[in-house]
Amino acid sequence: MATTVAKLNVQKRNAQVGESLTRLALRRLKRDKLTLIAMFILFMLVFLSFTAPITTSWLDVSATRTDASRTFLPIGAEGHILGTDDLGRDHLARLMYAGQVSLSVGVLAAILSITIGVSLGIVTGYFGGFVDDIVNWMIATLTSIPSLFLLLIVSAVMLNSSSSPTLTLILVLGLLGWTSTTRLVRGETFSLREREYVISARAIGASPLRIMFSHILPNLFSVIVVTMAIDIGSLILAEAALSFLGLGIKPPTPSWGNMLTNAQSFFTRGAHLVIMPGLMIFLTVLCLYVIGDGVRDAFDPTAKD
Amino acid sequence: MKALVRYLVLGALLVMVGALAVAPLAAQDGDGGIIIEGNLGGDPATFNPIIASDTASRRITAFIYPGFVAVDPSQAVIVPSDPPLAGGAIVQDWEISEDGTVYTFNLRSDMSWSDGTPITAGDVIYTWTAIQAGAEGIVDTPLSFVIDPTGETGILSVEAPDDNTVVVTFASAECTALGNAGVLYPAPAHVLPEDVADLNDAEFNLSPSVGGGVFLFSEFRPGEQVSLLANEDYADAANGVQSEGFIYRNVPDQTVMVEQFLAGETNVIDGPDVSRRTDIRAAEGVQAYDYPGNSWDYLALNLADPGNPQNGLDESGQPIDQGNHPIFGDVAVRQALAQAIDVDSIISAAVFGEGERMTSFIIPASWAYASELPTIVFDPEAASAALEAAGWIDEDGDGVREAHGAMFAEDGAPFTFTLYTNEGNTRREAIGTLVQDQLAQVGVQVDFQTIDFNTLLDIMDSQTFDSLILGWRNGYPDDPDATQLFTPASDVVGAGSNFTSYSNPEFVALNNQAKALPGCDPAERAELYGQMQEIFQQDLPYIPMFAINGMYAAGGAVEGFGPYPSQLYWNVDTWSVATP
Amino acid sequence: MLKYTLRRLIQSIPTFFGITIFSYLLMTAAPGGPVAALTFDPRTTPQQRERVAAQLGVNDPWPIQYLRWLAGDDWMRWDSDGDGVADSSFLLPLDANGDGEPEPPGMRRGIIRGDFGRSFFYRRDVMGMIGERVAATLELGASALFFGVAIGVPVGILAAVRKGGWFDNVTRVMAVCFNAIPIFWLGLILILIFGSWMGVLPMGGRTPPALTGGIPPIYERLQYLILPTFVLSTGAIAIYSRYMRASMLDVMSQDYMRTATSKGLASRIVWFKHGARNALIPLATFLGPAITGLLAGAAITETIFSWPGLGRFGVEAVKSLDYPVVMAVVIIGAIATMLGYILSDIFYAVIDPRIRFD
Repeated sequence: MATTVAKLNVQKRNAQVGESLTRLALRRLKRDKLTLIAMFILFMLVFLSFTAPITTSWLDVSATRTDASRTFLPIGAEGHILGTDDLGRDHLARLMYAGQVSLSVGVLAAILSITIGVSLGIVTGYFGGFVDDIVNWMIATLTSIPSLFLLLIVSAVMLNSSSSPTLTLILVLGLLGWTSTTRLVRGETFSLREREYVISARAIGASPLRIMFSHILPNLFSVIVVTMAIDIGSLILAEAALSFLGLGIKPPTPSWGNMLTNAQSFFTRGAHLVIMPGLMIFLTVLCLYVIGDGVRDAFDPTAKD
Repeated sequence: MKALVRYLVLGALLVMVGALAVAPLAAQDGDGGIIIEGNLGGDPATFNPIIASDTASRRITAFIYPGFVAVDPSQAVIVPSDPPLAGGAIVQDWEISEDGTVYTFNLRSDMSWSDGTPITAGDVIYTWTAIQAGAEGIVDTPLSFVIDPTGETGILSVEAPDDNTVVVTFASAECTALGNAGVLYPAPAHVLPEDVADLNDAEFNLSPSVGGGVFLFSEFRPGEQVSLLANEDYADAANGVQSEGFIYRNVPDQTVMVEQFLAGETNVIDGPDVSRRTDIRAAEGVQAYDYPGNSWDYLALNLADPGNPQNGLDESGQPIDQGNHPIFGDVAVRQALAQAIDVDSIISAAVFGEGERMTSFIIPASWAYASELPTIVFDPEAASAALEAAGWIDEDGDGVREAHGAMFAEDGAPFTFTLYTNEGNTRREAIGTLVQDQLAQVGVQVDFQTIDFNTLLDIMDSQTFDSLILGWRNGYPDDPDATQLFTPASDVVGAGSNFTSYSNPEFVALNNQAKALPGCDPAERAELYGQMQEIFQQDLPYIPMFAINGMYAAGGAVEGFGPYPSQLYWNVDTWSVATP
Repeated sequence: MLKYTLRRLIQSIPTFFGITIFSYLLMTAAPGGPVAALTFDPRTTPQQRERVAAQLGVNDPWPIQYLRWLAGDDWMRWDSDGDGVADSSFLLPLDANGDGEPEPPGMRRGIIRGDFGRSFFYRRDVMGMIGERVAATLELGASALFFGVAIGVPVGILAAVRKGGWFDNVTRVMAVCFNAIPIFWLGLILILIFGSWMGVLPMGGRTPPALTGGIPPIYERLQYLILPTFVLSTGAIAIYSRYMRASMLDVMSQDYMRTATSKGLASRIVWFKHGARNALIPLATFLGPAITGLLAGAAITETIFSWPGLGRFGVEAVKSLDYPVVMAVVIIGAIATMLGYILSDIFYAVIDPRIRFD
C-alpha cells in the first residue's frame, strides 16, 4: 500500500516539477549540510589513510620502528603527534596504516557482497520461479544461522588455512553479507518489472540481460548507494567485533579493530591508545550511516522539499 | 492499547527497582569471610582428581582432595609430611631401596574423607588402577604419562601390602621418581564406581559428595563460579579452617578481572595482566607478591631441513640424517641472531619489565639454574660481523643480506624467514614485532605472522616451520630433566616435543647422567645441569627469551596472605577475610 | 491457520538440513583440529595422541562424521546378539584400526534424536552443558528485547508525532551513534564508569558471589542485569525507534487518520488509538531477525560482562575448536531464529487483516 502511494507521488511530482529524481536528489543533497559534513570527514579519513607512506616519511615517523625506551608517549609528544604505543611505535602512523586496512576491508567486502546481492536480486526478481526458490532457500539458510557465529566459524576455519588472512577476511565478510541486499533488490526488481517501459522494452524484443542492465539496474542506483554506505559501516564494526573475539585482522597487520582490542588493558597507561582507534571506528561508521540516511532521504520520492 | 501502556509502566518500574536494588557486594555474614578469586581460566571440566586435566579443574581439585606427597613451599621440594609448612598430603615418609627403584611410602593414619571414612592405601590403589586403565585408553586421565609403554622408565607397579603402606616400583632409578609418584592422588574409592571404566561419566565428577582437602565442594554455577566450603575436619589446620569458604569466579575479560579486584568484588588475583601490575601494587591496602615465574617464552629455530622432516632416531635407536635448515643449520648464524636481539628491551616493552631473563632452558626460579652463566650480550655490530663471516652479506644494498658462500644456503638466497606465534597472546605478538624490527636493523628480513594456536601446534609438530615464538609452563615442583624437550628420542615428526630437531650427544649423555644420579643430590645434579645450560647456550636450538614473573595479590581485608613462589594457597586454612 | 503453521514448519525442513550441512562442513574444514591443543604437553606420547584422535572420531571421512553427528552411529556398527561386542556394521568397517578386534558398538543417537555428542574439551554431554546455560541467555535476551521494545517503540512514536522537532532530531542522532559504537567498547566503558569509577553497579556476572543457595530469584539480582541489558539492547532500541518512526509516519499519512482528526478527535487519542496500533503491525516481522541479532550481540556482551550464557560458551568453543559445542550452539540458535521467523509470519497474519492464510 505504501509503495502504491509512493509511486503515485513520484508520477505526480515528476509531472509537476518536470525534472528527474536523480537531479532532484542531487539538489537536495547539496542543501543537506549534515550529509556534506559527513562526506567531508570521511573523505579526509580516507585521504589521510591512503597517503600514509607520504605523510609518515614527511613527518619522519614509522609504523613499524619500535623503541622500548619511548613507549606510551602521550598525544603531542615531541616527534609523535598522537604519541606512541606500547612498543614505542608512532601512533598516528599506525592509525593511518590501520585505516587503510579497515577501510579496504569494509569497502572491498561491501563491493563483493553488493555485487553478489544485486545480481542475484535482479535475476531472481526478474525471472522468479525455480531460481528464486533456490536463492530463497540459500537466504533462509544463511540468515537462520546466527550471523556472528557464522562469521566466527568461517574466520576460524578460513583465516588459518590461508596465506593471506586479510584477503580471506574480505572474502568471508563479502560472501556472507549479501542476503539482505538480494532481498531488497529482488523486491525492487519485482515492481520495476511491471513498469510500462520495461514491458514495452520486452515487447520490442529486448533480451532479458539488456533489460536487466539498462532498464532495471539504473533504477536501483539509490538503493545500491544507501546499502553500500551502511554495509561498509557494518563491516568495519564486524571486523572490530571479530578482533575483540580474537578472529579479525591478525597482528602485526594493524587494523582499527585489533588496535582497539590490543589497547584494552592499556587505558591506565595510555588512554589515547584506547580512545583513538575507537574514535576512528565511531567517526567512520557514523559518517557512513549519515551519508546513507542522507542519500536515502534525497532519493525519497514522498519527501517534501 | 491500554495493555501496552501498562507494560510500559511496568517496564519503567522494573528498571527503577533494578537501579535501586544495588546491594552491597559480597557482604556475607560469618566470622572468617569468603575468599573470592577472579580467574580467566574458564570453567573446570570436572572435580574428579583422576580425570582433571585443565588448569581450572586442577586448581579446584587441589583444594578439595589431599595430595600424595607433601611439598615444602619454601624450598619447592618434595618432603615428608610436616604440617603446617608441608601439609595436606597422605604420605608421612618413605624409604628407597638400594638400587633406587622401589619406594615404600608410609601413609598417615590421621587422614579421613569428609564422610568419616579413613583414607587408606586402597584409595591410592584405586587411582593406580584408573591410571593403568588410562594407559589403555579406557579412562580419560592425564596421569598415565607415568606409564611408559616401552617399560624403560616410569612406574611399573603400585602395591599395598597393608592399609598404611604403598610400594611403588619404578623401571629404573630416576631422580624424577618422587615427582612421578605424586600423581597417585588418593581418590575416595568408596563412593566412586567399582569399575574404573565408568569413571568418565561418573556422577561424582560434577558433584563430588566426598572430599578431604582444606575445602569441600559446595556448588557449581557453570560459566560463573565454583564455591567451596571450609572443611571443618581438615586434619592439617591446627585451629580449624578460618574462612567460611572459597569462591572461584569465572571472569573471561582480563581488564574486567583486574577492575573487579581493585573494586573489591573479588579479593584474590593470580597472575594479573603484566600491564596492570603497577596499578595493583599502587592500589591502597592491596597486598601484592611478585615471584620469579615458571612460564617462559622462547624463540625456537628449526635446525633441520623443514622441507623434509625426519624423526631424530630410527626404530633401532640410530640417528637419522635430517638435513640442515638453510639458515639456522649454521650454529654461527644462530649465535649471531641471538646477539642481534635485545632481550632486555623486549622485557621492558612486552611485559613492562615483569620478566626475568633466561640464559638457557632452565628457569631462574629452579634449583638447577646456573646463576653464574652470563646472558648473551646484545651487540648488533658483532652480530653483523658474525653474519658476514658466515657468508651472509648484503651486496645488492636492498637492506637484506643474501647468501654468498653460506654454509647451507644457495648463493643469492636472501636472509629471510617466517616467524610464527599464536594469535591472541599480546605478549608474544609484542615479542615478535620487536624481534622483527630488531633483526631488520642487521639486514635480516623476518616475515612475522600470528596464527591460530591449533594450527600453530600442527605446524610445530610437523616440523615444517622456520622459527616460532612459544612458551612452556614448568610443573611444580619443577624438575629440570630435558628428556622430553631436547633429546633426539623426542624428535618425532607429528608428535614429539623436540620439534627443532636438536641433537647433541654430549648434552644427552649429561642429561641421562643427571636424571639417574645415584642419591639424587640436588647440588650434584645442578652441577651437571649447569654444564648442559652452557652447551645449550652455545648450540641455541631456542633463543631463550625470559620467564614471566608471577604475581599474587590479595585485598586489604584478607589476613594470612603469605605466598611462596608458585604457592599461593599453601596456608589457605589460616586465611580469613574481614567483613566490613 | 493450523494448516498455514504446518506448511511453514514443513518448508523449514530443507532449510534445517541446509544449515546442518553448511555449518558442519565449515566447522570440520578447520585445519589442525583439536587434538594437538588437547594434548599440548611434552609428556604426551604419540600413541596417546592417536588414541585421542580416534576417540574424537576426527580421522573418519567427512560424510561419515557428518552422518554420525546428524543421525548417530548406533545403526552404523552394532551388537546384534547382545554379547557386548559389535558384530554388524554398515558404512563403517567393523575393525577400523586393523588390530583384529572389532571396535565398540556405536552409542551416538545423532542430533535428530537430541544427542549433540560430547564436548571435546569438557568431555561431557553437550546437551547438559547447553541446558546449564540456556536460562542465562534467555534471561538476558528477553530483558534486552523487552527493553528494546519498551524504549524504542515510544521513542519512535514520539519522534514521528513531533517530526522535525528537537526530540526527533536528538533521538535520530542518538540512534545512529549507538549503532556506530563497537559494543565491546561501549560495554567496557560502562563497566569502567558505573562499576569501577562510580561503584554503583557490579562489573559482571549474573549472581552475587555466594557459597550456597543456588541461583537467587531474578528480582534479587536485577542490578546484574542492568548494564548487559542496556548494551545488548542499544542496537534494538536504535532499530526499533527508527522503524517505528517510519511506520508511524506512513500510517499518519493515511486517509483514515486524517478523517479521524477532521472528525474532531483529540490528536493524542488519534495518534495512540489509531496510529500507534497500526504502526505496530510491521514490528511483528522483527521477531526472527531480532533473535539472531540478540544471539550475535550476546556472544560479545556475555564475554565482557562474564554472563554465563550460550553466546560466550559458543565463542569459547569456536576458539578451542570444540566442534560438538559449536555445532550445538549454532543449531539451537538457528532453530530459534527459524521459529522466530515463523512466529513473526503467523503474528503478522493474525494482526494484519489484509493477509489471509491460504
